[in-house]
Amino acid sequence: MLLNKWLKAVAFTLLCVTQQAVADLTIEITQGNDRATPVAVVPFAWLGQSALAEDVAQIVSDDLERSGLIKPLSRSDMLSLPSQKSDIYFRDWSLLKQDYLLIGQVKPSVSPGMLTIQFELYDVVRQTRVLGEVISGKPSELRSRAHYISDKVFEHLTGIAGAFSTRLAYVTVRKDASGQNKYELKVSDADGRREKSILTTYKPILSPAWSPDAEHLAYVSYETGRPAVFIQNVYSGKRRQLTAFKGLNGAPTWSPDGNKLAVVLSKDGNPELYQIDLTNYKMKRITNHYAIDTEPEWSPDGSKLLFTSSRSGGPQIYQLDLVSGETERLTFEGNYNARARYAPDGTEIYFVHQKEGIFHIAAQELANNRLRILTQTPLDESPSVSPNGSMLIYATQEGSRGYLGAVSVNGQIRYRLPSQRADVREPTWSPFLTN
Amino acid sequence: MSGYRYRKPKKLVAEINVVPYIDVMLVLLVIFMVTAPVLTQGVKVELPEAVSAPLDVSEDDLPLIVAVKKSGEYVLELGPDKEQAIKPADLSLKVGKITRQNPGVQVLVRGDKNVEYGAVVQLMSVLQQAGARNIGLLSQPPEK
Amino acid sequence: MEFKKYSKTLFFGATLAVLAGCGGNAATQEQGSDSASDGQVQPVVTSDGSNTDSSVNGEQMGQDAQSMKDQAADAMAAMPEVETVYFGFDTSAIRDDSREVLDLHVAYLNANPMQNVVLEGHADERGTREYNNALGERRGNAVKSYFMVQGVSADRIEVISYGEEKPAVIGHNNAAWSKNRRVEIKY
Repeated sequence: MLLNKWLKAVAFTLLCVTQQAVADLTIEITQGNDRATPVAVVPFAWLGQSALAEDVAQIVSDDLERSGLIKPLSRSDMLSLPSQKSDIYFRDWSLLKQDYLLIGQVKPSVSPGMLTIQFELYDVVRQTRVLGEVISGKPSELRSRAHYISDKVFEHLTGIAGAFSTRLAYVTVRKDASGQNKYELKVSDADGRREKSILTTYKPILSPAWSPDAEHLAYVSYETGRPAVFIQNVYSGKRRQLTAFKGLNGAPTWSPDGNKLAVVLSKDGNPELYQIDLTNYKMKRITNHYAIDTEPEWSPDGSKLLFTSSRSGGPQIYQLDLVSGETERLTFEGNYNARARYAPDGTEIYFVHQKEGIFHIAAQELANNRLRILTQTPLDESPSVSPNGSMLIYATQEGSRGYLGAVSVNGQIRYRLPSQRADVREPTWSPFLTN
Repeated sequence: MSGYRYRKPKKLVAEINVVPYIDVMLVLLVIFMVTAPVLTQGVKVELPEAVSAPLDVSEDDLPLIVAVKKSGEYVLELGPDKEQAIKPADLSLKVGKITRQNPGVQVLVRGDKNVEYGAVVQLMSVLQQAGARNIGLLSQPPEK
Repeated sequence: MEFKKYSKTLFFGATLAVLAGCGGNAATQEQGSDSASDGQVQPVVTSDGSNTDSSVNGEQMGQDAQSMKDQAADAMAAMPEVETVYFGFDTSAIRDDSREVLDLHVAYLNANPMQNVVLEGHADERGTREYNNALGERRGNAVKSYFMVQGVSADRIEVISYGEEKPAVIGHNNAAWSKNRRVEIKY
């Protein structure tokens, strides 16, 4: 009886491995944390008939491992594969030095076409269940459900909200058969899987920015022959062109309430920040300086704007208080600091910082202006913070190929998402999904 | 003063450097007396009687127990398998999984007093190759 | 909201969007003539209505450009051969060795008053994309000013910045970067 269950679990694992789809982006963890919590994520038992398309436990295990804060046990080192409490021998998991054990079952639901997924997290030392839930979904939703489980487990173990159910948007470039550069705006899960192209053009695309509801992207496309700002719904594909002014139309970012877009226009002869009210399309100029003003970013409370300005010579980061109208220079270290993003709690900023010819991603605490360099590769740009504030995704280069790197805000954890086929750039991490 | 400084003579180290010995023996062997009840569960084995150090079992560092039955068969006391004999190859595989995660794990051999010497030696060799570095033999306190 | 169930609509919609975005309607929404700093934008909903494919459209534009080039060549044989001038790092100052090339273009433009010109500004890959876009535009504007001072009227000149998006030379070294910080003068 027991053996039968084990066999089922093993068979389930094998089926899932053979069915795994080829992903465009694959994760390579390059630096982890020595004090990561050991957690055994046991393959979930499948109690149905035909094989499932996704290996839920493997997705959870990969998610948790990518966080760097959790060290999942390799399946090949497990002594047994329990899927219910009565099959757990806590002593065995203690011998394997595991602090926690995640087990689960997937079975056909009573409502047709639906699956029931049950998962339980056990504290191995105390031999108690600390988390457990029964959720349901369609077979096609297993990946989303797995990320949901990762979010729950991660939050329980670290106290940090999980951001595994979020998305990435980025731009890929590759030469087509005729040697032309083909640009694509793509959206994927936070782990790089389920990649979808939402725009394909032979002219540059840049600066994608998520709306706060994570349903729209604003971006710059040159498809009309000139740069223009577009807004596109990532689900329906429906889009509108927002600006087509003479000169620059760039760097769109959304206000936290989603009602305004800050953009850069040079229609009056010089790059300045503008805000466009998306409810009535009223436009207001925000900066007025003969230098370059670009790359706006709204503070989490919407009361301030960060931007890059060359008003002191080279590019430096400034903060404009939208209430008082006062502008304050924030960066003083080095001669190139640009394209800043706020941490979700507003306590620090992340930006591109040049030191000795190397373009790093750097962080600066706003309370004491202390700067720390987070990345060491030479041409890093476009930092974007995960909505839980723990990781940054950024664009970097290796040889002539651009790829995406991720680093924790404390610099301790790193991984990369290289694309097998294309140059990847301009990553941006979505907010938490609202539904 | 031209850079000369009085240098204290180095203290002589009186301890034996243990590491090379372990290297030579590969396995540190200690004989323990069974005191904790956890060690007396499982397959019935008549332990040899000997006076030796009592063994403390802490919750954080549970030992892995391998019993050797009178027949010379091995029993790895894991999960539900408290009676089932295990082949040396499977034993090696399972112990290897544990030592990879828990390199300092104490492996205790609970051998029947009537077991052939060869069976115990073979077991020690298997355990050692599976990465066990800390192996102990269990005995029973002599009856008073 | 579940992503997967929308994937089909999304893909279809995106295709429509690409088609529509490349149609003529988007380009006609030029609002640059309004010089007031505050104003209103007219969003163009482009997801319904389509005619051409993105790549097809690209080819047509290429043909247009080609035919324009041919006409120009007929009108005046002395179209300057060198069409690129280069710049230093993080600067839009016109170098002395660029003046000779620019003067030839000024002469050509003054001899062909119907000829318009597009100045494509570019930057090297170092630094951020949007800042480089601004830098590319500054370089284009520097050339534009040079032309205007010598009598070419502003309405004949359009500056388009590509920032670091269209490098002339691929490479992560000074030789490549110096070739990419440039303005291309296109007729």
